[in-house]
Amino acid sequence: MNQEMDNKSLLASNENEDLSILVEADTHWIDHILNRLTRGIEILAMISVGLMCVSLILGVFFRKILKSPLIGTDEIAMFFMLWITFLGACIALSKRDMVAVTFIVEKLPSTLQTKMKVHCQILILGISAALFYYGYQWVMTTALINATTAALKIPMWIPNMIFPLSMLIMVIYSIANIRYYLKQG
Amino acid sequence: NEQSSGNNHSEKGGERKIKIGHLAPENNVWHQSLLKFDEELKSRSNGRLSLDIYPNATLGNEADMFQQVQAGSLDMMIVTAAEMANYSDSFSAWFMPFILKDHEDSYKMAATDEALGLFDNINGVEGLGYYFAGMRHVLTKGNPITDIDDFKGASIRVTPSPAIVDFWEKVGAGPTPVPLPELYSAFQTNVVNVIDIDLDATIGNAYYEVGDQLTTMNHMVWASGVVINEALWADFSEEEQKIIKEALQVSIGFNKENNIEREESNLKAFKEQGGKVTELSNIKPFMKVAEEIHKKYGGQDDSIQTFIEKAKEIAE
Amino acid sequence: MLIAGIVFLVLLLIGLPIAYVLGATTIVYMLLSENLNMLVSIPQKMSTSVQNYGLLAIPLFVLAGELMNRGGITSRLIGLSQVLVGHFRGGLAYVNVVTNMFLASIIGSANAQTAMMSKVIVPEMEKQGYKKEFSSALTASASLIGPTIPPSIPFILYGVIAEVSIASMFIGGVIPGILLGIGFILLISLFSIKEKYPKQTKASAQKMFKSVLVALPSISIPLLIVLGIISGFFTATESAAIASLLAFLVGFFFYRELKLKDLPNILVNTAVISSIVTFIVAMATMFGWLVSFEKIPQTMASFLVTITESQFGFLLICLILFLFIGMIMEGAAAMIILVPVMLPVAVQYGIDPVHFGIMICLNLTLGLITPPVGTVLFITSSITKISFERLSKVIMPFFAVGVVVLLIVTYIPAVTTWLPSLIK
Ligand code: NA
Ligand code: NA
Repeated sequence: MNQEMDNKSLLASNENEDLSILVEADTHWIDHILNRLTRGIEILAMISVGLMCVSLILGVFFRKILKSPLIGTDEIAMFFMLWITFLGACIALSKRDMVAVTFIVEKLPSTLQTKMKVHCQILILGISAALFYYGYQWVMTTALINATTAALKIPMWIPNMIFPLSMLIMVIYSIANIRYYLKQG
Repeated sequence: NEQSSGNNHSEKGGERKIKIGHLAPENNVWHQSLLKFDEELKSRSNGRLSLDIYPNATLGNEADMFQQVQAGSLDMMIVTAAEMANYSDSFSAWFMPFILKDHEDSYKMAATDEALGLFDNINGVEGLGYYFAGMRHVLTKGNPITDIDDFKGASIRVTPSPAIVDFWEKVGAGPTPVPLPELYSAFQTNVVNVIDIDLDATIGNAYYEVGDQLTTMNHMVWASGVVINEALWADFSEEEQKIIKEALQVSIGFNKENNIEREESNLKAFKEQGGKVTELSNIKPFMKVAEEIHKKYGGQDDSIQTFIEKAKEIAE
Repeated sequence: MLIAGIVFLVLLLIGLPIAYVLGATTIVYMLLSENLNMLVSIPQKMSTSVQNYGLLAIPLFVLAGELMNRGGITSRLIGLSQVLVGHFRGGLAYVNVVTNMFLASIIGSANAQTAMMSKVIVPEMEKQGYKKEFSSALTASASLIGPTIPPSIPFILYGVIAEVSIASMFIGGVIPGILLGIGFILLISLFSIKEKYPKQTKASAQKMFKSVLVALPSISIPLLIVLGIISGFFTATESAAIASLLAFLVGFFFYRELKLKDLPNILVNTAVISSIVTFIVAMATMFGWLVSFEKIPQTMASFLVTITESQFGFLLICLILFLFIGMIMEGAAAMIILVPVMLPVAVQYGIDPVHFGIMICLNLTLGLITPPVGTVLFITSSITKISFERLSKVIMPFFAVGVVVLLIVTYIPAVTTWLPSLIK
């Protein structure tokens, strides 16, 4: 199967596929762990999308049907927006499935193609590592540690910790992708 | 914190442009006050100090800019008490209803240690003073609100801060937070039928097109801090700090005059647009609710308690 | 800035994912311009950029689309289109356009729409004797109606950036979307005569009635949404959550094709598909932040004002500029970086922000079918197995139709502002 880094196979895949990844007997233990990690991230993403939708529906329901507005439903929805964005990006990276311009690279001989792909993953690794470093500092700064959200007074580091966390996960996946391309090439 | 050494800090004695951001458009009272600040700064420092103003949220929303100031990637900003309340509950002091009756009181209060001391609870920034926007009123359509019973069952748009939400719940309304960009259409389509707002926004964002009934409640003032990155502030010489503070004072004076004028001219504009202005027929039941709020929040936080006492002293 | 531009192009062309191209370019530019103290604010800037009330509608409308597709709504809509227009010469080609218009009233993205339709309708058209490259090009182009007729992800994004009412944007997009549909239909009728395309037999009254009846719950979703927004039952953003609820109810209880065990897959797909847009939003915001910090908007605005004094000239500059940008950039990123620059200038020229927004969104939407960066082309060519280059060529007449509609939208503001003014 063509493993290009764009969203085509992903968008195309809306048939019933079982999400649970088949763990074959000869799977390398590294792949085994990566599969577990991806599964965990997918579950978090599912919960995020589901709860975001439910919280907004509850907001409408309480305001218009029960006539007593719920405070904070949009705040909750916005956290999950953050989670969906970064978890979704992690999943896309794990499947080497992000929007990119590939038709020029596709013209190259396959060994060179693999080289290019490895270089791209190294760049992703570098960017993610830098963002992890700054993200960790950001979430752990005293300023943000004391900050809370406006309506529900939730400590701000809780929703925001997804940023450094997802960057760390991206570091892991980019390394896994480098390994994948090197093995392939 | 340590992140204050930007590209143009280092040249001490040379020219220094202070980058300051805010949310409002250029015709707003904040921006005008900053232009005054800039003018004073230049003349008092012989052109060494000046402002580089980023209006209209060009550098991001409040939360964005505030964290940028804390981190030192932005030098200064105008930040509402509502945003600062996310960092220190004590800033809810500004949301205590019916403690300051007009702009005169508000500016007096803003200059007190009780008000300026609130900034001490926030890391990374130094608070230099307060600007204000107009007094808070309520805008509705159809029948005017004159009595506390008129709020029963109304869904009122509020800024989602616990003290504000509490107040309106106790008044009997259903406080509903609606983000500002959606407010016009939410008001138009009755997602909310009352909004808690100042006159500047009523005219500036054309809410008068939807709501033609204004009740001048003056239940709250809308305070915003002028804050600067803490490390940058410490980096200025004493003389420079003095110049900045004095220049800001002049601009705060300008802000006050401007606000008092605008309150009147906005009210006139509202009436010219066919709006009706009403006053509360009986303020007592509101004061009773306000007392409960003062007790509750004053009891939770000493800074709020002393703030309320000081405000009441000023309002006497 | 020049070096940053070169870095951007090189990274783009070596196949680095677009989101990271934007991130890397920003970091390089910060390093070069010695704005090192901005690095610490990047995480906060990226995080807050997506925590925006208006943007919530993006995953929710994606979710609605996914639920709809799995719940059998798409196939009911194709069935309805077939009984309506299938019996003309080139019938299935019209069905393609009309189904896309129906779908557009529930789905907000061309990518999602072309992914669904390429798989369903292109093989069917091929079976009936249409050329595969024609079918692919048609399907790719007709999907552009998706983000033009509301709901629409680009409109949401523009509403958020420009602080313009999303509801006004939605209503303003209705006529341009219909124009786009009519344009494609006219083009097909030209092709049909030349190429002698097949037609289907006219459906019996009974079959017609049945198709309309089974499609009613599907059609009622957009109607309920519009009613809900106009009557103030919910906001434009909340309407996206309600749309998902309705799509679930229809697929689960009416058509009974949606199963509970489908949900995990649908939810994960939703997260990944919306992150394609929102992750780019996060990276592009960081880029746009740098651009405003350098006061590039002001510089560019004063430059533009010196080129032309007329509104006509300014609109022409925008039209060409955005078509060009749409070729090499992803629409969401282009919008985040350019709208803050161009909108204040547009207002100076007396252009209505809703009109300007719809014009820009339509323009960048056309960019989805222009090479080298054309997501819709990527998706369609991968599903139908027509080469990217071939598809880029065959799609040209359709692109031309799009440009004509764009010209109409640009120079006849009433097309976009008339409907919203009725609601006010
Ligand atoms: Na649509
Ligand atoms: Na393009």
